[in-house]
Amino acid sequence: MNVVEIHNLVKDYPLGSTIVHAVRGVDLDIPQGSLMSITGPSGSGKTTILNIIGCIDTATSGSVKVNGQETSSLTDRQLTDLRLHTIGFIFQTFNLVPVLTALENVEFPLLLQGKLSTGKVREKARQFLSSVGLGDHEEHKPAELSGGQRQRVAIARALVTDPSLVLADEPTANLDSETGESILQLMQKMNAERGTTFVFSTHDAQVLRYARTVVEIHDGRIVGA
Amino acid sequence: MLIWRLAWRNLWRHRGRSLVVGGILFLGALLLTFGNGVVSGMERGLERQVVESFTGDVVIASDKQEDDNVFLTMMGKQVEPLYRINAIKGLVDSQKWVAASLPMGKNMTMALHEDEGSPGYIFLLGVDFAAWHKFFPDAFKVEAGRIPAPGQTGILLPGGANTQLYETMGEVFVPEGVTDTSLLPLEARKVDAAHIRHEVVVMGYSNSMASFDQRLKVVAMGRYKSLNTIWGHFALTDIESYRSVMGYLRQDEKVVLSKDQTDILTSNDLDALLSGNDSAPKSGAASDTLSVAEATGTDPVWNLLLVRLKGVNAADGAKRLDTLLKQADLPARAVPWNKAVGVIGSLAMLIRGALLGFAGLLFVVAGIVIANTLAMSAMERTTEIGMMRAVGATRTFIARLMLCETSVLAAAFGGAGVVSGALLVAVTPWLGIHTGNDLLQMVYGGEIFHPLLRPQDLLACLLELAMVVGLASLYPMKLAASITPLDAITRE
Repeated sequence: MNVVEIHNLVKDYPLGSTIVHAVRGVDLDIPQGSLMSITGPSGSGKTTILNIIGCIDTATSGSVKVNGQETSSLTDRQLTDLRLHTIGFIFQTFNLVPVLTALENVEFPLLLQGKLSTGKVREKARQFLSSVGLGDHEEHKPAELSGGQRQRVAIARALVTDPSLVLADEPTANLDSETGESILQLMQKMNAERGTTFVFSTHDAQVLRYARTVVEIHDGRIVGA
Repeated sequence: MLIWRLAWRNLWRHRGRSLVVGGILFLGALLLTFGNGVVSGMERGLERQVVESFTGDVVIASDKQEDDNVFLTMMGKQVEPLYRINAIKGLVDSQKWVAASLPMGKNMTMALHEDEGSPGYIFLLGVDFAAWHKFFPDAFKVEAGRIPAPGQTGILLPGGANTQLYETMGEVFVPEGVTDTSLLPLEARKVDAAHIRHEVVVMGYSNSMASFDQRLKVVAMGRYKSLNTIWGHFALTDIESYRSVMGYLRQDEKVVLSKDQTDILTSNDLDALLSGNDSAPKSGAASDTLSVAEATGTDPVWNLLLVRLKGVNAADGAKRLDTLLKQADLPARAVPWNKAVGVIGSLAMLIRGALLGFAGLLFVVAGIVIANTLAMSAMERTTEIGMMRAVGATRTFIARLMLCETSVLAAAFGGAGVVSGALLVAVTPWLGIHTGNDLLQMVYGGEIFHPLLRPQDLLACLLELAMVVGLASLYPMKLAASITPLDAITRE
């Protein structure tokens, strides 16, 4: 079963008087449990595709289905719900709420969901924070954590709601290679243990070896998979 | 809970900005609270100064009196005679919630120049001095001469009336034997001795436009203890002299008619009387004729009946008395004090309106500054807000977060402003800030600056604060809620 189905996706940006064709007719299916990397040089359209899959951006034309739902037909509220319940995000740089502790950041989406009691939320958040190796950093604010630790917190937050899909936009770009590798190993482990679908973008060839599927993008088109 | 936690921590994180917004809210709330306190103190003080020294709580006037404003009428406008005073006073005094009542004559009169110079004008109050002094025990301070004893006649001139007479007539009026020129109006202190007089010729007008003049001996001069600048234009004279001036029937001129004379004068069937028919008017008409007789002057004539209430406010008291007077078919109507003194009674309301206007302006400016600061804050936090939206926060959540932040600021700083304002209001009377200036006394609420804060004033301050914060938050809330995750990515 596919978590994501993309058909003839086109995304154009106006830039002054010209139009930038960021994505030019992409077709892509992402099966449940994938560990997929979208790779390509800067400006190739990887981030744009991730943003559209994550309901952060909208397509100019074409069809994008997440968990069977056509995203272009959803309202802002429905898209927000989809992000909250179905999709987990790990961003390249901006990731955590600066005024919340590591534990509170992990609790954040659970509290937004409002499904669990406060006690259960705390328990689950602790469990996920421990699973990324930060059990002893619960009370640290983001500013008190290293770049790698912040990404780990972000991974815990992305996974704590048990999403079908986790999107990570260049998750290791700002990390040293050792920390980057540990993050990728963590994602690999979570994929193996929980069956969570991971899609991450990168232009770093070293990172690609962690992916089971690699999709190569160039000038907004898939050139290899 | 999550929102409050986020709001509180964000405010703490951006302490500098929070202090700017909070400082504006604090200052606005402080000024508003204190300003409301000053106006309420003024209202109370004004009421006390007018009610306790000049009008009583309610003024009863003739039902023919068109205007409610019977004291500060325009030049020459007559205050109608009030008939059947005994019945009216009896009815009024029988009410348990009436403490006392005082009949009074009041009209504009002309002071004639005895050497063919320009005349002057004075408001003249006709009173029974003993009853007046009992009703307003501390209202007037005699500086020279003395208040006439019962049966004595004369006029009591306050400084304002004397000044006005000097300005128009070039003469000053003092009791006989007074040589202390410091008691005279400042401008009149170098007046020639030939222009210092001890009697004043006062002329009034009747409704039939006939005029009557009377020479009144100046028996005392002095000043009203409060609002002398206003009340100082009202001279006092004994009621019989007043009646002579106004052409009203004096008590000693009253003629007691026999029944036959009354019957003849009040009969509607003159033909029967002239035809020699013995059938004189039936006694069945007696009740009508009696009331006609009363209405035409059997009772002494006054212009007003001042009423002091106990346990009832002036507006309610006036309403109740008005109803009672109508039910008893008496030719009078009741007016609360604030309407009887015209614009003076509305002064506190006017100043409150001006204060509200000023506070409104202040809050518009404060609101713009707050809205601008919060909007800038929202823009600065695009990345953070966009990220929260990306992980599932709704627009409503973000808007509520912004509202919570401003609410916390308003509650903390605005609340502190209201409390500080209330404390300032409470402490100010203890400072003993004193004024001898009449007009300033109106603002001060008496000789000592005495602001007053009532529960409704506090509530009004809080509501106004909430309204300003709510309005100032609207734009930043909208702006913050419109931030998308894509905005955050673009920013990065």
